[in-house]
Amino acid sequence: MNYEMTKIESKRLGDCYYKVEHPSGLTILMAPMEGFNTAYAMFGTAYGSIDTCIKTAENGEFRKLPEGIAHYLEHKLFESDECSAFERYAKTGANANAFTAFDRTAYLFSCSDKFEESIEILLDFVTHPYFTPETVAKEQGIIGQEIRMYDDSADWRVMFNLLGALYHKNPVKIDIAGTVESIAQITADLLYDCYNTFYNLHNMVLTVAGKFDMDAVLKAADKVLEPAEDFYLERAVCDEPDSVVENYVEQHLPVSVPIFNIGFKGKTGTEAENLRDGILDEIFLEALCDDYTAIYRELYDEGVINATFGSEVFSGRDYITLMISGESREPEKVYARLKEEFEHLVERGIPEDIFACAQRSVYGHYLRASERVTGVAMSLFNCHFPGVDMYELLEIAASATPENVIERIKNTYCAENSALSVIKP
Amino acid sequence: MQSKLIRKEIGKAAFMSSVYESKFKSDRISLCLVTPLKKETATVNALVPFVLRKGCRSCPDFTELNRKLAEMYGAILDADVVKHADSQIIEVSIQFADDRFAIGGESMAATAAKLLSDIVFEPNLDENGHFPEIDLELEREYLIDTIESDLNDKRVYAISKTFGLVFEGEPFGIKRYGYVEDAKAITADSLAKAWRELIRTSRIEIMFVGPGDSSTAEKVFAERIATLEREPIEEKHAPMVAYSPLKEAEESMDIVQGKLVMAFRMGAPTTEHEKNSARVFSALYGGTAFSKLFLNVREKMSLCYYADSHFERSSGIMLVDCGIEFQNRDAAQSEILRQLELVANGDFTDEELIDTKSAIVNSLGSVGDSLGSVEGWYLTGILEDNVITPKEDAENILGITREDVIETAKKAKLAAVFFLKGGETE
Repeated sequence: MNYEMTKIESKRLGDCYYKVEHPSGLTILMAPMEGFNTAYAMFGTAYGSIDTCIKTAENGEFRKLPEGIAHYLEHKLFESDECSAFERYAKTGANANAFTAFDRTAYLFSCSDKFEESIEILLDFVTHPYFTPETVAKEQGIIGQEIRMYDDSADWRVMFNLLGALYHKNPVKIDIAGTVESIAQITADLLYDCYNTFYNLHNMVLTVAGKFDMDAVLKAADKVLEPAEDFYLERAVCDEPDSVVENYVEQHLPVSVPIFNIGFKGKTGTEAENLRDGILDEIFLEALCDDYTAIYRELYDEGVINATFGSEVFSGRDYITLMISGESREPEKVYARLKEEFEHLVERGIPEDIFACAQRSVYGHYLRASERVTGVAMSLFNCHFPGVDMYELLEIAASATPENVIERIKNTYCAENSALSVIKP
Repeated sequence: MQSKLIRKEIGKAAFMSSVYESKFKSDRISLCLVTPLKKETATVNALVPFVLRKGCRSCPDFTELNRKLAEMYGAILDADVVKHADSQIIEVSIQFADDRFAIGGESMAATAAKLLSDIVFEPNLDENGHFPEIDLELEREYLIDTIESDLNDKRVYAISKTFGLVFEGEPFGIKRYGYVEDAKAITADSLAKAWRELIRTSRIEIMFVGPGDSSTAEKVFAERIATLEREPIEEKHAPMVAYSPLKEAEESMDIVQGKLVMAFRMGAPTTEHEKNSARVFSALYGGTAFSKLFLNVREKMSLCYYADSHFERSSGIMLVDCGIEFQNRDAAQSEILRQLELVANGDFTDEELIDTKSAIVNSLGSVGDSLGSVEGWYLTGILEDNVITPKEDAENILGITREDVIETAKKAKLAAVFFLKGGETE
């Protein structure tokens, strides 16, 4: 079939991608990249670990789902009554995987050959669930070990302990894989319920980047996808206060040096606002404490932080937090100094030279993402659900000013609504 | 990959390699000092990249240096140490936006090459030829933390312990960042001497990958290297050990998941054909999501989330590791050994072999798609004195037969088992 393709271009990058609204209800985003040898495809849904309370048109009331069910579903979707998706991919040589995040789930593969076969497998297995009590039971041991692995991971624990200190109600504080106890409640029927609710093509996206034939993508979509029913879903709005639960949380695990996560909890905007404004927040975080700032230098020279120190904006559908992490023997000192510096910057503004560094660094980060096949497929995927054009992010970085960054920070964060999480030996 | 590697000698035991790739928007230059891995020098050499990263004569201030990099659209300057077989490599690299994307139209490649050259060859030394005292103190502390940080990731820790068991007394067993006791003993003199020796005696390998013009960078490096007093030492490599007696160890830690690691000697695979056979064998055994270990230890027995095998071509051993309930150790270990025996008895289909080879070939197809993997690919080739393209490598992989795999499986002999179990931390 011939489809209307919308071409979206970035003059700055000299790149483009194409958008097709497939009659099945699926949005398809494709970025052919000249000179590259691999294709990277992601097929996924706006459904993740935070979707623990939902209402669909049929039953008319909110109901609670076991924690970790989105992730469990991701594992089980790889199976069918014949052979697993991995066994099918074995015939094409593609490297396949999947992940469950807080607000989305993605199935993906990369390949340098037999793209046509692999894209068909991807669309096919994700749209054909097969769960039985036996196959569901078998996964308990495997996911149980995945959960245990994370229980022993200091990097993982320090972040979830922080989220627990920051958020009163938002399910973002719940571990993505759930607990050994919560996943014990999962049944084949529940998996079908979740599948039928969230894996509606109107709630999904397919993104492909690299070396591939766009016609092959559309042909596979025509062949495999059935038109989806209308999509109705209401998610429980969590009435999350601006304040934090506590300012400090610690846990003891076998580590060599204490590790810390500091979070400044922001007032959430819409999903699109969190993504767009998150670029300004990235510039702010750079200006606050990147390796060319005075505070970084002071803490480094005092031996309080080391080269593991770093920062990121942690955001999604209804949450946004500035996170700073690293190793330190005096994490309280790092926290106190960062809070001081935070207030100082908000009060006096960002010096021009520091702003130029911060802006250029963030710009460079998005520039580098555009030269990797995985980076492009991932950006297309992440920008789709909030409804933002991928190229807009680079433009936001390029046109930011110290004033609009500070204005944004003033309205969204305050030094008090923050917490320190520490893992001690 | 469209372009091939061009390599030339630009000084005494100093080589400049370049791979032109127009599709990228950044360029990447790395400078490696290749030296024999020895217990006496491993730790002090590992400190060298950390102090080099702090500044240079042309830009002595650490903050100023970082500011300069940020202004170059967030250029990334990394300095670290890696090991390859019995070589130690001090690698300093810089990745930066290509000229086409510079807002002011400035030439980034020349600036970056000059900076990289300054960082490695013209550090910020005082009148006694020492690195600044504060850098020595801080970076020595960081080196000690890095050595001890194995503990933070239990999988990494268990693997490191296994390497310690299997390679005890061999150069392969020397740790990447060295040893805490040796780090504590580093002085301003010993550190400065280590840097001078590296500059004087090591092989220099420079690599430029990207759409930029490598000739300006080449000129910068050639001119600088010509001014150095170079007395490169001849590189002699230790022979790979074919087999060693089985060593076993256990350790307790306050954790909830056990980590089992098994190391196999492979009879010293030294020819390309032997190494390629071992790569295919290891992938069929436990390297893919349709391998023997994945399908049996994970899917059939539900013992673990991961059970992987990995062939280390530089040291010639194969590692198998998994995370399990403490009480499942024997069940996991015996199933891992049973699957090995099955492969050695030829209990796998031609289809499994074809699929395994195609998975390897497919992943080789992606080597050319990132600056870092292009650099890593050719650097490994240079270190192993076998520079081939990923495409040529794929052809070699496709040539591996069923008999090659069986023969390799038969050669695999368990050399070490380490188990990290629960309990009080020892």
